[in-house]
Amino acid sequence: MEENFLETIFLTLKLASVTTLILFFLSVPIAFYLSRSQGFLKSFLEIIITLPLVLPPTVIGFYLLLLFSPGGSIGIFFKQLFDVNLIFSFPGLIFGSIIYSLPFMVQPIYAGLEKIPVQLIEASFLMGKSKWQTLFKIQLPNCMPAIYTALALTFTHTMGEFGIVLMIGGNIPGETRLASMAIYDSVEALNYQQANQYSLILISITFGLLGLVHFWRKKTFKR
Amino acid sequence: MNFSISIFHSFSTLQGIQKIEANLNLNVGDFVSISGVSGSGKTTFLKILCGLIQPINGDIRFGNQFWLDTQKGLLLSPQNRKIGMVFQDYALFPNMNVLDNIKFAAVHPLDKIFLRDIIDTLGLTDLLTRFTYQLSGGQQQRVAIARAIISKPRLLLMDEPFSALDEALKKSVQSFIYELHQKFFFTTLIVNHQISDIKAFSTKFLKFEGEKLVDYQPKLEYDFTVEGIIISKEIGNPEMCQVTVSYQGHTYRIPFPAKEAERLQVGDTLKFGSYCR
Repeated sequence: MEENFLETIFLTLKLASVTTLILFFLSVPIAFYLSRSQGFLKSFLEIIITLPLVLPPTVIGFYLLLLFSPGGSIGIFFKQLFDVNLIFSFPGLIFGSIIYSLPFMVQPIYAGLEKIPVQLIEASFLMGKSKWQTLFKIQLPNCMPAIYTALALTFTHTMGEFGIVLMIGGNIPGETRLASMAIYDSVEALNYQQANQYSLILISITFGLLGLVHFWRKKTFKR
Repeated sequence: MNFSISIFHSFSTLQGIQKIEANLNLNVGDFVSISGVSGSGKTTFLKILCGLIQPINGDIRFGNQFWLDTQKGLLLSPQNRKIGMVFQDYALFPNMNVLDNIKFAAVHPLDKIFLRDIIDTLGLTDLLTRFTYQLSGGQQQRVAIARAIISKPRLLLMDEPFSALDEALKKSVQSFIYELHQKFFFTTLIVNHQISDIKAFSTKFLKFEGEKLVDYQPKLEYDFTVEGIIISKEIGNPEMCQVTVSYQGHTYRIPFPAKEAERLQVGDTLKFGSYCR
């Protein structure tokens, strides 16, 4: 086992957890807005959110590299305001992951909210409840299977991120070296045993999480 | 106090453009029965009253409060109209049990005596901890009724509220709603396929004639039939005869065409009906 093995796994899990948490709070209002609106802005937002799903990660990574670099607009902003370098750093990876994994969080929650019968929302309004009360007391609790799916997909997808990490994160142990990069490095060095160790860990975590979601969904669907 | 409704709305359906027009002057405290063929716009009309659908133009005034005035761009939100509604498909919240469904609709502070009264009358005592997926259609309907009345609304709207109830329960629920209607001075509008169900309580009858919702007086119909014993037969004139029937200690005089009455004998049993109105 490589010296930084546990550190790399921990960093991968940390990135996935932080990204999932931030994305959840960011995606609920976006999905709520999408489920309630019509028109051009909705379509435009939907396309923007879907882009990371279809674009090659290297394309997103390339533009993030330009934006996050010390001469890029976002890079300058963060350097001047928070004294944080976004390029080849953990905060930069978080930003990249948020953009890259956005559709994996928004789409399932949006689909879940859309599936809720409109009568439930109308009934809540007639009981004097506001839009936000209805969202938190009726809509979100009734789309828990979709939320479980969104959380699991975002977490596992972020854990396996490679293209963007390669472009904006590099391979700094303890800072930006993630499991996917370690696998790539190990294979390049013909260290298949190490690649296997990292891969098995990723597969186990992913399998366990998806299994958990399957169990929760089944339990919730019983209702 | 008046409850005036003057609205026009049109919307597209699979069958094409559908229109709804209503110019009504109801009284606050009325018990109104609404009928019409399937797809005539009854549910849409209720949703317009709720503020869930904004009509193309019109105004609605409930007592002294304007709920809608499209000319002035006024639309009171559904939250502020104090309406209780029983949806056709119940719209119970799947994430809550029966008690939580009812409590969610209640206003604070919770009137516990009234809550207990509703639960008892609607026969929900043993169902309180059940989730909606564990209830039959009739049970769900009773929960939906409880939820609509717990807040003692000013306007109670019910879309086919008795369709899944058996006859015995239907009668007791109808009486309970009417009792509450009188006690709390609700204005009640019920969409019902079977007018006979609520005819005895209704002060006003509305029905869709094409796209228009209009007042009407329903035809007299048999409400019930009983079996009595003929105790006398009097021939009034060559054409008509009067038969006196005894039923549960009361006597009823029934005019009969003389020819028809010929086959009736004193001591025979006779089925006869009573009119509701």
